Amino acid sequence: MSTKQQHLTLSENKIPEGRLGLWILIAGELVIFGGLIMSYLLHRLRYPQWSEMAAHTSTFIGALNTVVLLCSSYTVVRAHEAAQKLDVAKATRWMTCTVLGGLIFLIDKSVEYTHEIQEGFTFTSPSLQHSGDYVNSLFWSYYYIMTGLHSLHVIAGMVVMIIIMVQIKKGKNLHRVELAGMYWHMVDLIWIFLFPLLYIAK
Amino acid sequence: MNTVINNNESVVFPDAEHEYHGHPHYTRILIILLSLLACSLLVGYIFSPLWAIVLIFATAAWKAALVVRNFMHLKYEPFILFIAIAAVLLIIMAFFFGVYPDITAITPEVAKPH
Amino acid sequence: MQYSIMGIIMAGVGGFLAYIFRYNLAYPGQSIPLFGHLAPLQYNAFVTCHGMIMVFWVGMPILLSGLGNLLIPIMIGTDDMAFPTVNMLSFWIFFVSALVLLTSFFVPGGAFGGGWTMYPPFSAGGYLNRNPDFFKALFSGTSLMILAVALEFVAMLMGGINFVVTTINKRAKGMTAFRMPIVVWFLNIASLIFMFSVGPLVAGAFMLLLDNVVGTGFYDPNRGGDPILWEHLFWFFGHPEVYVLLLPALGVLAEILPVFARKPLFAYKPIIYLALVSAVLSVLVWAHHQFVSGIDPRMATFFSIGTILISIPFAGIFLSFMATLWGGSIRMTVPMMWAIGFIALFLIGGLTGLFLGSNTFDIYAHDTYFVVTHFHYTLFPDVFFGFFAAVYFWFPKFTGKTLNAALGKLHFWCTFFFFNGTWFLLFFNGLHGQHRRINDYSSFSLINMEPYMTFEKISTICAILLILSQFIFLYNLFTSLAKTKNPELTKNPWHSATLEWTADSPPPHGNFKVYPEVYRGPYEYSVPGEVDDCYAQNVPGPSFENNENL
Repeated sequence: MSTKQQHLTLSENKIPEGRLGLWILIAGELVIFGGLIMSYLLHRLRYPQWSEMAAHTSTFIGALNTVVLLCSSYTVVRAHEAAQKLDVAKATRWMTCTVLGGLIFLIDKSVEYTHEIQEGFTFTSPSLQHSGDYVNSLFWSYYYIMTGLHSLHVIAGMVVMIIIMVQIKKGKNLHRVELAGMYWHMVDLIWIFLFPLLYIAK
Repeated sequence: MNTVINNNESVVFPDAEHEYHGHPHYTRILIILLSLLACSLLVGYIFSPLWAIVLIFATAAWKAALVVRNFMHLKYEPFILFIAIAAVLLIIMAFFFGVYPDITAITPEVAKPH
Repeated sequence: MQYSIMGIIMAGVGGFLAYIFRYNLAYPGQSIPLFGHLAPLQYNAFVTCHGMIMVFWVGMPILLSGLGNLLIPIMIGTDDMAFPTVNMLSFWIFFVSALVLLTSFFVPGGAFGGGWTMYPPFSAGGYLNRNPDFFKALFSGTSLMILAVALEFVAMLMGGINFVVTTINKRAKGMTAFRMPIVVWFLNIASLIFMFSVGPLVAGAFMLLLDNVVGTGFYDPNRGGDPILWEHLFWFFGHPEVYVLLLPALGVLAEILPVFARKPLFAYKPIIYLALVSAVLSVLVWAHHQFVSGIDPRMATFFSIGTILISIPFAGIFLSFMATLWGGSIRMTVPMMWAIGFIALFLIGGLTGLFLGSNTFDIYAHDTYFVVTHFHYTLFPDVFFGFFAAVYFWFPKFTGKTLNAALGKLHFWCTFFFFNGTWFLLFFNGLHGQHRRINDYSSFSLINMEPYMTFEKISTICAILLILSQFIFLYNLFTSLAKTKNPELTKNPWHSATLEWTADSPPPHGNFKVYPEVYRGPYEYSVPGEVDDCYAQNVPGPSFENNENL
């Protein structure tokens, strides 16, 4: 099967395969997070008392993380721009910034988790349950499952980013920089909604 | 559907997507995003809680739109893809409104501690 | 191909489970041949796993992944799927998920037995133990089943992405959207429905798993959660799932009927539009499974109306199929028999669905054998008749060998007869209120089950014969596979016009020697003066697309 033959027979389309596949993947991921966010929202509207619990989350760290993710999104589009100009060195530099951004996000998150666990808020929050405050312990279950699942996506995005950095160093698959970038933007996108839901809206 | 798939022409498929789409001014978008974030943090101190929440989620939606349109280059994609993403959001909304009367409208009697 | 083989193996497991509990229903308390005594908890576990296996590990791989991977590339005239690596990964994830499910039979406590819908609290350790031992809870039947289902979803999501991208980007020259065979359209619509509705359940399954292994209370009403939320999350996917299974099988029918009626498919474009309408409606009707769960009655009315509405597009599709048969010169070959059998049986399933869609009747019939019979009358023709029609139709194509037609007809009549024998009488048992989850009525001394036991016994005997008659198929399959390849005889035995028959049989790696170019729609039969009485899609010449019989 020569490549040339393939070029002649493929139906013309505006979206390259990788991008199209990734768009569908992103749509699928959005439904997963959408289901989770909607479940949270339904319970959040049911229990106004969750606002006291939301007050325990650190708006400062949340805002810092938003800034970090937005900036890392910015660096990855710059990496994509550089990759399109076939500038591998520059693309790698920008992508390293993005991975560092992800790392800072995770460090922030673990500082935050440590703080909350020290206050007694865990997945099941035994101290709240012992005092009979089941409803508020449910808030923390939702908090950890939403931010935890999101952090897993951050880690996955970082791993993908590193694999693609190794690939483009060898000078191949430059177009995949954009694909990794799109995944990263999706992670950013979800955080844009998690941040007001869990941190600001009290 | 026709806009994407109803093409009879066959052309050479681009290897990497050189000149597949243009580039918006990324730095400007980032500055807008960060200032929107600052706004969403400030509205809580300025407006009454109800308006604050409305404004916070409005800015969140605006931020999301900026990221999707510019960083993910949705504005260079065919319109059908926009419809697909909108369909996802509508499906999630349908779920929310279908479940709302069964979860949110009911306050259960939560067990007392033992 | 691997998907189909895996599906057949899992169908064997599911069928064996069905045999065990059917036997138990007819002869409660007696020892079962080939198995022994069935404990009530085992009965529950077997019923649950039968449902799970038949829907997720037989229906999905055979109809969606198996047909999709075989048919989509060759029918749209390309060499392979868009992402072959993703495809392989998807299969192995699916394989692992099947292993995880089968493992759950052998862990302490046995497989999960709370119904295939996995409603909490059954599926969450009963919330009796709020500080579960993490590893012990992880290796319980419940957690393994949730994990298996989650893995299966991941595999199918990856497969679905592959289908849609392949169809959009890799079509042959001239293969426009409205020249694609219906089966390709339907496989894609099914994949899209699956991908857009499964998300909430993936999130929900994650929450359920945490309820099990960590002891959170997402679905525990005592701790502020809500079990109704799980029901919504589950059925939000679970209802579209039946259309995911139905659409590929309908697509197979749309390929087979015009070929053997020698007529163009009636109303090609409207069929596609109707399927799109049903796809939209399918995500708006999920709560009709929950009429007795205490959902808001106003919403119940809404979902009731939605359910009855969704029968309109499917009725439209079926009427188009019948109109295709009308006035055609019908050839009663084996695939055609399966296709017509599908229509006949699905009619019964579909019509009883209309009754159940109305919430007033459903409150009476809920969880009785009426419901069970209804969904067996839809899913059995759908999965098995659709699958066998496809096998008898495309077997020469993909193996280069021929199946024995006489054995095929015997297989059809046995399956058709014994299937009806198994299920038809149970409608009456269901209307008299026999409950689907009770394995032995003899413990209820006030209920006189004697009048109904006759039907139970007939049903069980027919079910055993139904399973046995599948061995005719297996015998036919293996003896045919042992034959030598006959490329001449299998070149285009049915005189079909679609692209897959222009490749060699079996198709070599890369499918086509020269990429075909498409000049017309897929169903141009009965063209006067043409060789084979049909216009193949890749023969240059005029197209009759614009004067279809609309």
